[in-house]
Amino acid sequence: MSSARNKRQRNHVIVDRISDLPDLILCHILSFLPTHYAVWTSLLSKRWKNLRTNVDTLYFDCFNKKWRKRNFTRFANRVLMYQLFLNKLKKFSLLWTKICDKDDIHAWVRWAIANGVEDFNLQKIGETSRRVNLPISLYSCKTLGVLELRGQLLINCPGNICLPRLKTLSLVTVHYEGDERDVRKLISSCPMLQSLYIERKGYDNVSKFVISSRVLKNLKVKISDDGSFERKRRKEKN
Amino acid sequence: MAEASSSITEKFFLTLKSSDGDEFVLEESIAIQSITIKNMVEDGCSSSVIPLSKVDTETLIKVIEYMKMHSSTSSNEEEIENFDKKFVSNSINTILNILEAANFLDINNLLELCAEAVANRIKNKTPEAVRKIFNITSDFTPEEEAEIRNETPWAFEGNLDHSLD
Repeated sequence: MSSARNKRQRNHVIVDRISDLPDLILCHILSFLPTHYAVWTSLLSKRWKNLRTNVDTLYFDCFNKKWRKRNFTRFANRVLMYQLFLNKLKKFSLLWTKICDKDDIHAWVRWAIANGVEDFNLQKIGETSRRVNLPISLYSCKTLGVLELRGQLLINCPGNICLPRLKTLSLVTVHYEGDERDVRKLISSCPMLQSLYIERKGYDNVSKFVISSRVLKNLKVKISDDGSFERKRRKEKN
Repeated sequence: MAEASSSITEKFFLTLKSSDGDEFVLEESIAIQSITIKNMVEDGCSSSVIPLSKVDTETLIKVIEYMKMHSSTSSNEEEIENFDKKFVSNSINTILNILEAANFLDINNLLELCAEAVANRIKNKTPEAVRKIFNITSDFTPEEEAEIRNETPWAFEGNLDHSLD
C-alpha cells in the first residue's frame, strides 16, 4: 500500500506549481516539445491557452507521429497562421517523409527564412529515389547561425550564395547535385563557419571532398559505405 | 609578494544559506556558475553568508551536487552525461523545485536540463494525464475546450499515453 502511495506521490505533484512559473520558463519548456504536443497544452487551462504562440521554436515532425496524408500539411499551415505575429523565430525543425509535397516544404522553408530563422534543421526521411532540393533562398539566408541538412536532400547551390552568420553546419547523408563544386561553394560562402560536421553514407555525387576554410575550428567527418562508393569506382574504371 | 597573493592556486570559499537555515560552504569557482551568486560576489556581498531565501535545503543540496559535477576541472564528458541522465530521473516534484531554484540562481545549463525533463513528462501524454501529473485544473467551459480542439484537430489524432509515469 505504502509503496503504491509513494509511487503516486513520485509521479505527480500535490499543488499546481508549474502554472505559477513565469511565461518565459513555460515557453522554454514548450520549446522542447514537437509542435503537435506543444499545441495541445493550450487545452490544459486558460493560463496555458496562448503560451504556445509565444514560443520561438517550431518543430514539425511527421515521422514519429502517424499523420494521415494532408493532415500534416493542414496542421502545419494552421500553426504558421497563428504564428504570424511572431517577432523572432529562433529554431525551426522540420522532419518529413513522402507524405509531404515539395511545394509545401518549400513554402515552409521560405516562411522560416522570412521570419528570420536562426537555427534551421531540415530532414527528409525516405528512399533515395525521392530526394528533394531546397529553395535557393536558403543559401542566402542572412540570419542563419546553425544549419543542419539531413537525409534525402539534394544540395543545389545557386551561383551567388552567402551565409554571413552561419557558425555551425551539419551535412548528414545528403546528396550533392553539382558534385564537389557544391561542397566547395557552400563552405567558402560561410565566412564565420566555426564548426562543420559531415556524414557521408554511400556515393553522394562527390568524388573529391575538399574542405577549405580559414576560420573553421571544429571538423568532424564520418564516412560509412553501403557499397555504392565501390560500385561507382568500378563503373568509372570500366 | 603581490603576485603570490593573487596566485591562481589560491581557493576562495563562499557560504550559502538555504531557506531552512542550513549553511553550505562551497568553492567560489564552483558557486559562480550561478550568475546570481556571481553578481553578488562582484558587488562585494560574499564576505558574509549568502542567503538563498527561495531555495530549501533539499533543493540546494541537489543544485550544489550539479554545480560540483559541472565545474570544469574535476569531471569528464561521459561522467557529466551519466550524472545528468540520473539527475533528471528525480521525481517531478524535485525537478520543479530545482527548476525554480535554477531560475532564481540563474544557472542556465541546469535550467535547460530541468526544462527538458519537464517537457519529457508532457510528451506523448493526453491533456488529461498532464493535468493529473501537474495537478492543473481546467477552467474552460466544454464549449471553450471544443473550440480549442477545433483550431488544430489533427494534433489530437493518434495514440497518446494515458499513464502518469
